[in-house]
Amino acid sequence: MQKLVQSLLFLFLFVGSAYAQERTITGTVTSKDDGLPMPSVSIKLKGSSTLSQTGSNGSYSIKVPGAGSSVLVFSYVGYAAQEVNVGNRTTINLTLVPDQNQLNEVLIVAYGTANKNTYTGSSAQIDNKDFENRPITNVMSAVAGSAPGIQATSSDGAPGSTPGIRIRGFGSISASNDALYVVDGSVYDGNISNIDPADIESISLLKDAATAALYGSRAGNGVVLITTKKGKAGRQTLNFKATTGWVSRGLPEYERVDAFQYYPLMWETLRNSLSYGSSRIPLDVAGGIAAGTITNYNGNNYTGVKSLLGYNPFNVPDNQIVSAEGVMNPNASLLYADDLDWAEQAAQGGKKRQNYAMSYSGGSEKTDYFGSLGYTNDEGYLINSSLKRFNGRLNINTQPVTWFSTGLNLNGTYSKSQYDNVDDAGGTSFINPFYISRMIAPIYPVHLHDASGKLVLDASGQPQYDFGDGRPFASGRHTIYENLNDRQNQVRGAISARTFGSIHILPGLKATAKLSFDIQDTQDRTYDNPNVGDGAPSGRAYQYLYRTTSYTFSQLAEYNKRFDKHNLQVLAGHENYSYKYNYLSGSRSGIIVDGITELVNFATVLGTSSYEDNATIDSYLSRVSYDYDAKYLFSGSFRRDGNSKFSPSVRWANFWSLSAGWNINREEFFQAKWVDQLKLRGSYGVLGNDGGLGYYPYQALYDLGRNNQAEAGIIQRSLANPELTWETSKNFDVGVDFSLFSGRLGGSLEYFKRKTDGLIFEVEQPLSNGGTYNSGNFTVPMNIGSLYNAGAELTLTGQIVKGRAFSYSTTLNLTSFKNKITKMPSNVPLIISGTKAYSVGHSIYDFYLREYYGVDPENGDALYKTNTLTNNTRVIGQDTLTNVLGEANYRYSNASAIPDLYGSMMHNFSYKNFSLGVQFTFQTGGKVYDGNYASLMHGGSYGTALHVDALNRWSNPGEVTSVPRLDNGQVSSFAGASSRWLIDASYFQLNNVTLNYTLPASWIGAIKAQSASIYVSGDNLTLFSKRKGMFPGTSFNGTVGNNYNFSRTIAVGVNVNF
Amino acid sequence: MKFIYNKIALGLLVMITGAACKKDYLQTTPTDQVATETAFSSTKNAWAALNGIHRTMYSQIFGVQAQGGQSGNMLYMDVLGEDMVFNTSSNNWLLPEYRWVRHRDATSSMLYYNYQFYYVIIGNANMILANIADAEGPDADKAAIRGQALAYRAWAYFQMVQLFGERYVPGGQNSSLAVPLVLEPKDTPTPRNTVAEVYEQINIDIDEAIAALEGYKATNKSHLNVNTAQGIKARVALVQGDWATAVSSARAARVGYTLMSNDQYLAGFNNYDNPEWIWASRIQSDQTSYFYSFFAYMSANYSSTVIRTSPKSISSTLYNTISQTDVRKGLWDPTGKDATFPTPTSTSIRAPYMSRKFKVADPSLSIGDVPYMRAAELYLIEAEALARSGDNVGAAQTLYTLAVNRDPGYVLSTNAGEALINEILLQRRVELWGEGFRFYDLKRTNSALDRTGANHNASYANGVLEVPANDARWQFLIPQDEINFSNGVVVQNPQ
Repeated sequence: MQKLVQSLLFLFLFVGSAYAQERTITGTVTSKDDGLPMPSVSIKLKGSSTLSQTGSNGSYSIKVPGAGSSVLVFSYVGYAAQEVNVGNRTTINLTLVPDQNQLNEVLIVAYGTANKNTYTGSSAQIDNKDFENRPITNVMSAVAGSAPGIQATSSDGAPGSTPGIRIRGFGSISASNDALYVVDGSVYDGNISNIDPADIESISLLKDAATAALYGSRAGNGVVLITTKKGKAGRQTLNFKATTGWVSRGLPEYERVDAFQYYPLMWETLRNSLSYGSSRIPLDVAGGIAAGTITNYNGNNYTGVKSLLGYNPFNVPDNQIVSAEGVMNPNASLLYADDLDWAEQAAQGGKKRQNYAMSYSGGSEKTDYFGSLGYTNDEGYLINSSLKRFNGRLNINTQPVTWFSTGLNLNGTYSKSQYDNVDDAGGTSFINPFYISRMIAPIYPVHLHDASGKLVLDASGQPQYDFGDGRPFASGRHTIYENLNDRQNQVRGAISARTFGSIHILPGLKATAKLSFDIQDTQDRTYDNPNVGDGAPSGRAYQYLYRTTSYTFSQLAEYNKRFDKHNLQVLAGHENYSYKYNYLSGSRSGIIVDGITELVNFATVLGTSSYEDNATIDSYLSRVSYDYDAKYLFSGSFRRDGNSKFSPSVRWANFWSLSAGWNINREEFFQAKWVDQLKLRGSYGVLGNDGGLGYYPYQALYDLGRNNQAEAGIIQRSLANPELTWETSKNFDVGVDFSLFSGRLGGSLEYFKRKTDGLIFEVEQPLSNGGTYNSGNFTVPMNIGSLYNAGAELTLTGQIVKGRAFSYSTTLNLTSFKNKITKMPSNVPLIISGTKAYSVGHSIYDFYLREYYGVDPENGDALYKTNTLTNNTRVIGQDTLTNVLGEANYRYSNASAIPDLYGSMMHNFSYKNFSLGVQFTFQTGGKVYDGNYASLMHGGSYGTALHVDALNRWSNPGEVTSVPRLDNGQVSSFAGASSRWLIDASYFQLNNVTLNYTLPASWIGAIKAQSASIYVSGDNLTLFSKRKGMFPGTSFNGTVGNNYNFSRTIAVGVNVNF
Repeated sequence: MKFIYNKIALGLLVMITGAACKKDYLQTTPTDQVATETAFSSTKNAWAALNGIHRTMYSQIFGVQAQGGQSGNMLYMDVLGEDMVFNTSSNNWLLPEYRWVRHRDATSSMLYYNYQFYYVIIGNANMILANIADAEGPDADKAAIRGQALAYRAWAYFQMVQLFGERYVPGGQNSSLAVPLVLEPKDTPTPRNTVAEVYEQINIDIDEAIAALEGYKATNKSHLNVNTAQGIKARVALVQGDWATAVSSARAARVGYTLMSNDQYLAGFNNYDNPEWIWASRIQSDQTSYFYSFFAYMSANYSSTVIRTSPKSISSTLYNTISQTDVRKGLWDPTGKDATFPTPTSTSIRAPYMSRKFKVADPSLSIGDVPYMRAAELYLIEAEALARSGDNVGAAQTLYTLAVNRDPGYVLSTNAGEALINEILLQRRVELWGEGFRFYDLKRTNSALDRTGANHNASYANGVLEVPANDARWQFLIPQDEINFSNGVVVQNPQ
């Protein structure tokens, strides 16, 4: 390839030299930045095909005609191009100035590119240089904090995981709130983690109707355009990059009581349960029973708290751990104090992150090429969680003849991962190490110990895990052993291809056919050991094959015309999209020979299954853009989609946008010279959202394969809704873009209003109307109402210091928005969903809970506000209260999960060869429903850990506290879901610090490199939130779970260009 | 110029390739599901819809272990009673139910299951009843399918009304609220009907079912034949105090079924080929319910944590009433040391009075057949109904048939009146231990829960050893979800 390009280049030069009476111009190009020579600057003789470029020492030579006035054009990406009149000079030395204000920046937009100066939409673009030195394995990790209007959850600690992104609020309740992902011009159905961040040129986030409407029925939540690298004409670069990093847990654990605090608290739980429960045993007797000193009372048998907890981790007898008065035995000490930290023992993963990438790129006038290879090895801090990924990419574009151009962009990826047992929602499964290590009481050892506390060793002298058959919490299970001995391996291969052919019919008119094809094969192999857990007692293995294939085929006509000061661009076309998902699974149990986990090594078939899903979209689209002298800007787009997810009567709809802009600074009357740009712009349009609905949401269906022995069986699966259609998003946007003082201060201020009509909600049906055997009552997706998100975004960038040696720039992003439901179905004005409820005037994330009042000082009961009178209610002051949770009514808690304000700040310092970047994100206001804290404040579940706040529990009549009595019989009532668990969601997070050092030219000259740098970068370095262990950035809806806590990564790297 | 035309032609070619999609391009259907219309297009398909209900009886329900179909209800009904004893609190499965906590917590999954499981069956039965008439196929098939759907619906409402309603008082008004009667597929909420109304509908359904199932020959015991329907009717009549119907239906139900031998009695209660079993599920390896299985909780020998650590025992009080010559006495080990009693592993806990009534058929898979109705129960219904209607001789004779089969030393009872009724009820507790009857029987007979004086550990029971008859806690709460999702149309029970 390189040879070919060189020969082509040579050919051009040769042709150039055929002119008569020519002369040679020579010189050196330097950078205004650092005064150093610039290699690879392209030099072109204007009006001809003659071109040259500077060598590694910045010098060049080019031949120009002997007569006439020649003009040379010097250009380099990121620098302002300069035109120089040659005159009769033979030496031209030039200094190129970095293009700071980037007014002429090219933006990646739907179905093409646009000039930022004349663009009327609202989008944010993140370029490679913003994240190239960060230790990320998933490119979406770079999006958090990068622009206003973008909210991101912190990517969790699992290798390769993709963080959630929300563009301008929450437009949907039950349908998806996820943006549409478009990679190199076509909707991408693979996993974003397939793409090596090193291959990415830019990420564009399309926020308003003007930018997104061309994606029609799928664009309602915004669009993420990912563009991969291309070769650049005249620049040949071989790049090597290597990074190695260290991974550790980023979020600390909640503060919990230790064993010496735990035992007396659980003693008190048993005493209270017997004394305040239906058996009404006198408190002192109950204290003796709980201590284990009284074993028979009124003819019934009792045992002490040790029998309920199962374990005595102390060196004192079972009935002497806690006295009958509840005092911890002062002589007690722990038998295995060093074996009680489950979280630490679960965090024994590889804890490293390595990334190696090599790319080669270049190009000529007719052809450009980019090829890369990358390898990523990401090992999380959790045992057996890792990702090994190989990436290869080839991107070639060529125009062999003037009337035809074509290109191919091919990406292959292969990854192997061990995936963890922590599902995305951070659930409460027995194999979720975060759940178990958080909730297991501090008296249960990880390993087996004898009565004296010594480790019990196996035949080979190794410690054995304690499966905890005698433990009331997670009995007979062992998250660490299971995660070590089970297998959850995933192999994924994906190929993504994009190709096009364009016929250039007339100048400015071309017809293009584009074909995109994505295939992703994922093979999951799981094995559950026969000793403990779901695979016991015989062991079992599962294999799954998931294949996603999709293609987009488009036919586009484009026409560009410039006449006088009028500039017109027209696009029209047709597109069809097809998506197919195949599933195949098999499972067997009864392992035969140890060590082989393939299905054939298991005795009994448990099941086999397969199915295929299909979804299609057929579309017509068009866009017209016009500007007059780059001063008055107009654009309109239109798309008509037919979508297979909806019933034939409602499956076609139109989506469109109109936008306009005004570059005020280009007006004659505008005299302020200190203003580089002042642009007013606005847009309105209609988009759709079909995400998250499944493939056949309008159809009433029965599940196949519910056989009864050998008899074929089917069972009800879903109810029909033939009226179900898109959510329609009506987006209004108005903004002002400005650049002042030669680019020293720039930014945008925007107001947006996104209204969603036909809001889809999975309406929960009454239980008595039936349901499915596995998920319970039916839900029916319905277009139930309307809501809007309205808010303001501000981004400001300042070049505060711009010196020759030292410079400092900073960027501030701020967003504030309001989410409000404006319409609900008339027959159901309020719908309760989890900790929230939907009704007019409230946001979709307004908490709707029972209201906690406090603790009854007489008996320690939890009190809740109610609106009905029963035998259990009483009135205190203005409030009617009950001690029965179930009698308390639900009400709005005057709290929302949506923050008042969120934002980010970036600081970039550079001093000589050093540069330092710092990024942090923050939010203020909003509430989190801290379910983890609620679980740790259970108030009396034997064997379950307690938060230190449990030490404040009510214990004596007359005591005033906010923590109710410990009582096993009242756990559901005293610690049930209520407003008690809401907490301020404000936080501040230091996302990234990167220090980069550019090696001096004198050093790298020795290895003949063009440039080289070394850097150190740290991600997720620190977090401040209202409660230790609680991270509001876990989810958008203000809930937390037992998630794979995000990791802190510190990496060093080297980047060399030849 | 000609070149321009060529380029235009090429451009047009590019534009029209694939531009026209086929008409059915946007019509997609699933491959693992069928449309509801297809499900009832023929009786062949409608049979499949019925088989789906049979399968639900032993499916993993709603993702909560211990809820392996109907067996979940069976487990809950026994742990709520006094005849089943917890030997440890180290395992939490069923423990909160034993403590009488969960059925009084409106958000608990135990309540959701006991409500929604039956409504899933009713919903599927309603679909069959609404569509079967128009299906293509023989009338005999339609009758058999319809009859089973009706029997399922009657049975499901009967199971629920006893939990969520107040106790049925024979001769009383029974006007308190029970559960919503939903009799056809619908999409609007239904308010709760009274206890009396629900029983009225149960009787209508079961009578129609019996008529429709006349002559239908079930291919296996997972199907509901006329005997099953009569058995359900006998159970209903017993609750309603309709002694004559209870007697006649119980007799009709057991026609064709004989009592099992003593050897069969000790064989592990896991095989529906037993001649005494009338209605049961058979679980095969590729339909296993894993740790949801009845045998993962109740068997003596399946290696689940709950069995290894918390073997189920019989109340010592009840055990001591069993005669030494009774085969059933051998189901429990009063010492907790008898090595002939199977345990899953050598380190498994043994406990006094532990049971070996249920043994897993396939220990690698946790599966075994689950009994829902046996002829023995029908003898007990008949005997009790006769005794309560004053026919002491007939009652004693009916009881004798069963009791002497279990205990060769049994002599015909000379008891009468209350004493005879108590003897029958004691036989019933021993015979049906672990099969999910105890809570229903306590509530039906208006008895108090009394766990005192036996081998219950009051600490494990959280002190809940006694619950008086008529206490509010005998009524299950309505799941909070039903109240929320019906927008308050369904109201809560007193708390």
